Amino acid sequence: MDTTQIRTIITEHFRNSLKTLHRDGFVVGLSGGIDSTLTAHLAVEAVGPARVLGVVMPERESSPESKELGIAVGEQLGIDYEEVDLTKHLEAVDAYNKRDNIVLRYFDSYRPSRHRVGISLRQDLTGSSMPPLHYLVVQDENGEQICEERIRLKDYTQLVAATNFKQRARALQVYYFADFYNYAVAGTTNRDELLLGFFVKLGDGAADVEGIEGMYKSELYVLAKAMGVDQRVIDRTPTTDTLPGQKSQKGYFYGLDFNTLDTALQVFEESLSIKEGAERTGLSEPQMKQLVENLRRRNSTTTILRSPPMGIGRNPIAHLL
Amino acid sequence: MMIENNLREKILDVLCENSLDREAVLSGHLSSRIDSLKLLELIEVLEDGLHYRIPERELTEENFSSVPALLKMVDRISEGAA
Repeated sequence: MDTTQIRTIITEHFRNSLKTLHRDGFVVGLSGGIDSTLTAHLAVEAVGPARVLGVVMPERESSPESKELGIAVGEQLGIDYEEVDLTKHLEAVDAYNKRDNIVLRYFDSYRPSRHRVGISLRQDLTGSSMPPLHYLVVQDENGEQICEERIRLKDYTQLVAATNFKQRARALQVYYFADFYNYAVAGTTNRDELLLGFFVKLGDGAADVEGIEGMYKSELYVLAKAMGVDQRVIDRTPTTDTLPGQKSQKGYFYGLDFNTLDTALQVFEESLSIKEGAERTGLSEPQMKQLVENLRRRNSTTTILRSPPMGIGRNPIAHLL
Repeated sequence: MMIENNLREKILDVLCENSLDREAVLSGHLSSRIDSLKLLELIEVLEDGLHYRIPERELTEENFSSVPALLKMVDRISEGAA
């Protein structure tokens, strides 16, 4: 992997985008994860630290490590950063209660102060065409699982709606600062998230410029190392920091390791054959084929996340006007 | 039989996008028609119709492969519950 060339191409894209968009710099939400950290590094390399603003956005349930590392990244890069606690905002829109009321339907001893909620997906991705089943998981203070219930459709969609407040609250803040400084928002969506719809529309998916959407997660680690990203960020388990019981992003990615997932996505995007994908992962060809089919379905069902508003335009009605 | 007919209609309501779809759904494989949300919806329709929670062991690719397979599972569960 030619990290030098990749850096040159992405940073040039960043600079050109600013010109096109008539903005003076970049805002990056810093979560202390590899995606946002790498994006901040690339933005700094593109336009210098004086024209990049980091925004660290903890809330009462986010991991303290997210804040610590977000700040550490800002300091390492020598950029200005703002810290905005989102707790009051999330309380004002009733995000926590809306979620907790759903959890109580499944686990009546649930106490948000003592328990942590997550969603787990169950699916035999390489051996079955069954879509994943979603389970609501509650853990106690020690991380011990004390409830796991298959979630009903209405509850699932309501839970997603409630938790999506978090990503959207973050987007509100980064856009506030973008408008304030006449900056553009640098998005942090990577290729795995983009293809599989693991982002929130108008939430963490809201951005003016994307830098790493062409790179699979495993490739980001190589680039991050080459760019001198803080080792603690590289070693950290990826998390979306939305549900307190969701400790790892791996759960969202069906428990696959990133090498297997990224290889399967390359097969899906037709840059590798099924045979090559199988060889690289140790899966059999039928398993790789099944995995790719399951990912294809996920890509298709998340089309709405990647779609701009489906406008009708003027042409179909122009002759009537 | 009554339960089965009712459920059959409800399953078709979940899976068919329009009335022309019915024959295709009845005779075809369901894997391309079911995503994770449809699967949840389908399970709920079955559970509400049966007044019974479908055991996890029954949530298999085979049982959800076609409408006849689903109805066969419903039969089996109804008999077991009776």
